[in-house]
Amino acid sequence: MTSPVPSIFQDWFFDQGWTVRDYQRDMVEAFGAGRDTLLIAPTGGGKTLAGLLPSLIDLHAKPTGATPKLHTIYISPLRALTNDIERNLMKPIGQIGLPIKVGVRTGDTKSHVRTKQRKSPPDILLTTPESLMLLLSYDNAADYFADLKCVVVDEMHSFSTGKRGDFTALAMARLKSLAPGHVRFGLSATVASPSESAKWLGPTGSPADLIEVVGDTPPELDILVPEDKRMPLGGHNARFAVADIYETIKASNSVIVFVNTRAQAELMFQSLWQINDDNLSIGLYHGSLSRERRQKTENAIASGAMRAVVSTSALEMGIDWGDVDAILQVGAPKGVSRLLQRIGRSNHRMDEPSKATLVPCNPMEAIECAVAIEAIEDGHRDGDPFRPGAMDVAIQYLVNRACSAPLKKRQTLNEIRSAYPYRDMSKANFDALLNFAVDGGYALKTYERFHRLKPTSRGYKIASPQQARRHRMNIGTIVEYAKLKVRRFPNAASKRGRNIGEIEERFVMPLVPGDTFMFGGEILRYRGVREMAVEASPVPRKDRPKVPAYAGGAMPLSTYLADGVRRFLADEHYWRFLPEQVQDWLELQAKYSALPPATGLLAEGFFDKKSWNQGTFNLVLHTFEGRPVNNTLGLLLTRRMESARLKPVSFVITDYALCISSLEPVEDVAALLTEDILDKEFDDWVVQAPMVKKSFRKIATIAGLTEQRLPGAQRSMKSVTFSTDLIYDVLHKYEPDHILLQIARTEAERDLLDLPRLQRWLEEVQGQIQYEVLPHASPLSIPAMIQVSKNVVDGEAKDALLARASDRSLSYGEDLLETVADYVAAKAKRLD
Amino acid sequence: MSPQKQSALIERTRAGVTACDARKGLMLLDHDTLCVADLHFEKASFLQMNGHAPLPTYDTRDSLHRLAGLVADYVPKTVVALGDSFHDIDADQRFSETDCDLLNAIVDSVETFIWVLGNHDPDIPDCVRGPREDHAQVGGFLLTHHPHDPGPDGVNLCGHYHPKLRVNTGRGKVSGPCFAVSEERIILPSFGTFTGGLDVEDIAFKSALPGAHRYHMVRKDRIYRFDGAVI
Repeated sequence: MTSPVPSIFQDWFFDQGWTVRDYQRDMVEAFGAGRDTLLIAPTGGGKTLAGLLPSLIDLHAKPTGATPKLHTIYISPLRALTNDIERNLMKPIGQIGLPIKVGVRTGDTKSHVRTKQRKSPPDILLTTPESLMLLLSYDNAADYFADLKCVVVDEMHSFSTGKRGDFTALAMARLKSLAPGHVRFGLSATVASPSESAKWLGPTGSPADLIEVVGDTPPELDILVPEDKRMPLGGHNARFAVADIYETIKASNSVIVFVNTRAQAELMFQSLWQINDDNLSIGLYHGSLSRERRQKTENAIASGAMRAVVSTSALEMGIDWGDVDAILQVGAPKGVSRLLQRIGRSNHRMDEPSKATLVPCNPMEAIECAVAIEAIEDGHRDGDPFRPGAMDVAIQYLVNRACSAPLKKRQTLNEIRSAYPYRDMSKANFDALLNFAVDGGYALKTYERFHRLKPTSRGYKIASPQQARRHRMNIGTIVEYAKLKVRRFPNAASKRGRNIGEIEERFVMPLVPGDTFMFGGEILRYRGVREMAVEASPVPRKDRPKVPAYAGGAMPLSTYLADGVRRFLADEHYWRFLPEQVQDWLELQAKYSALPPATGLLAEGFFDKKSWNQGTFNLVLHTFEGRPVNNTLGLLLTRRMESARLKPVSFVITDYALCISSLEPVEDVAALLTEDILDKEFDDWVVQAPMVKKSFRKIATIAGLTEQRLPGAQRSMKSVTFSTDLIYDVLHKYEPDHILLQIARTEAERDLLDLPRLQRWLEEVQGQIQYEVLPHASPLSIPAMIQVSKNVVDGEAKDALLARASDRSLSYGEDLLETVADYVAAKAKRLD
Repeated sequence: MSPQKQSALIERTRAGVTACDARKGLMLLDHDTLCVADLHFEKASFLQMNGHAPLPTYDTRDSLHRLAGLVADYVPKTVVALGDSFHDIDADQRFSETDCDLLNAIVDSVETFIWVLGNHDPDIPDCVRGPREDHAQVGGFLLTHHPHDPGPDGVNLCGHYHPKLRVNTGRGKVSGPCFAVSEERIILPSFGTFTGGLDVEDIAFKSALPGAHRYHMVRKDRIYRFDGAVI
């Protein structure tokens, strides 16, 4: 049998010192046979090339001078990845001399390039889901995509289970209608459920074929804890370990230091440079830095000019650079699959083990690290489960669809159902979504309403170019806080500044000129906001610059890891896998209070000894059930405590524990935790529903009810913005069954509340509650106690705090009301 | 709504006693006069017309209900709307018959209902009853849309600015519409359901509210007093 790979390609592989791998050949064959295929392989080892090789081969013999037609779309979740893939694709194209044009189309693409791409498409388009959807919204979409032969979805595991996955599935369903003959390829790291992923990739009812490649060299992992320094008991600051991290960098050629949030990246970068006596080239990389800055760092990494780079998940995927010989993971890994992905960044060859060092920042993280290492050795993978497609995303899709061409109901419903996440969408549901897309679908019909989509004889069309523009500005599923550019001036007197990145507006708001903050690895002095940009200039090191926080930085802990941590704690046999400091900490906990049992619940109660919080009682429940459960339980319990007159003030959650502070001590925990809490408090609570409101905010944006507020946009008195909370309140009052409220409720219950899990847990702990009343906080409780962000009990408690903050006591409102009431009564008498 | 659930604050001014109600109305207790500012009827439908098609338009109805509630509780002799009562020039074309009837019922339930007009104020729709005025003088109170000099012993009540206060409770920030009070002026919060606010820290308030001042902030049917120094 002749190889499906033409000899000029084989020669090229040979020249690189490679051979064509089996699965790369399989992909070429799958393309020839028109079979949708999901390739699952560990990071590295030419996975992306395997996905694009069939297209290169199919295109290599195309006649020169042919009309440009879009042949292949490569979809990547990260903008950075598309640049990198372009670089890598240009190698074989240039070296073999292929007549193939490659184009990149992302939010970063300049507008003249976009215009050119729309008129004359490249053969291979590298893009993101959002930019693809935008292309699908233009009225030339049918022509543009008519000759499509292949769609490649890269790093599928990283986004297919979320809203962005739903969004991508819908875009792919549309492509299938426009060009029915094309093949779909998915590229994924190892996942918990390959067969589900294959279903997601194929159209509903015909899952993609699976090719699974097993890496045969397990990674080498260890945990770093400085011998001479104490690990902090809570928080996520790795300063204590920075000297050892620096030593690791010195001992290696090229290192990526992964951290979990952008704020941590800035702090780690600063700490490393403070002790960088050898002047090693250490860089910083995260999503808020400007495109130029990011590309500069990417190039420096690729050319080997950089010794180490401190990065967030932005460098987690794709970027192919062979020479990284060590990975440092600072902070907890949060998920087994995520950790593997990060480890895979080192030593991009499949036949040698990758090496990684984990640096936990507190004892719980240390246990998490040990559990993750065990899980990797056992071949366990975690990941979010696939769920039914999100309805707000479907609404956005309907509008997108109507922007490009008239939308017919039955045809569109079938198209949506062909996207696997939406396979079960009912006609009734579809109608409700469409009604919302058309005019909001409200029951109140007092005058001729304004339409977003208008019905015509050929189907629903977007009502006006203005509506289309508004939709296009808001395409996507990632709802972010408004951002401002950061404009850096070389010194305080200089007039010319340069944009170095973006920062969230809510961080900027409380700043006053003169304040300093960390950004892009520098300390900047805030000058003010002008023309939608924060103006700042660098200053010498100063004490306590502020560190911008970014929303979405906190990664949820995977269920698997949370369960593992509980197992490790309860069974002393596992402790030998833990750093000595952590063992000591656990022994102290066992002596002072108790260890959490493998089943049942350990609860602890104590008065807060902090001088500024004297007299606050803290109840800590060590649930080990993850944030959604702890959060829901916090909301329900504080409500119950309120009716029991325990005066709850606020609660904090971690992945492991819930800590409620109250003004009165809790004596009977079991009485608070009866199973009927889900019936008694829940209904009552859902009505007020701060969590539903929270869901509604995002849903309203994705469904196009409100828009992402543009940073620093001029606010005239006429168009003063108002919050989605106001809309929620009004809808809740006048049309409680409105489709958007239904969606918000369903999503809140699913994502933010995790009710089934809470129910199971409540059943499990009944009769197994161990309550320790202690003189002060136990070792195990401290991480929760020093958690910074608190959930103030909304409703009465917030009102109480507000009253406390105001210059009158709690009762002043009632007192004054009496005055007014008296007045009204006196007046009523007079009128008689 | 029962009055017990509401709260209001007494604000003693040099021109007389007022009550700032959590429903965003201000009562001149010595003059049986209720003031509301910036009703912005038909704002949502205006936004709908300008590209925000799926917005719900219950704001007009909701503002009317709140106004009716205030009038029912205080039984004022006079009601004064301090300008920007309708959101835009074409609002009359979208103002429904039902809503107009509801509004006229409120107008008819009091002795006088005065529509103060701002400089650029759209006309009050013809179907709505009640006199249109440039300003109103009630005892020592000068009622206008934009700030005006009330004279040495007077107090100016105005709207226009939609004041909003943000308070740091020590456990997170809370914000809400507020009455902004100085010796010579009270700026009322905007009454309309879908009206946002302008932070009282904004430069615009420097000239509108000179001298010592305090704020009464509204949140969830309650009203809270803050002295300027607290902020």
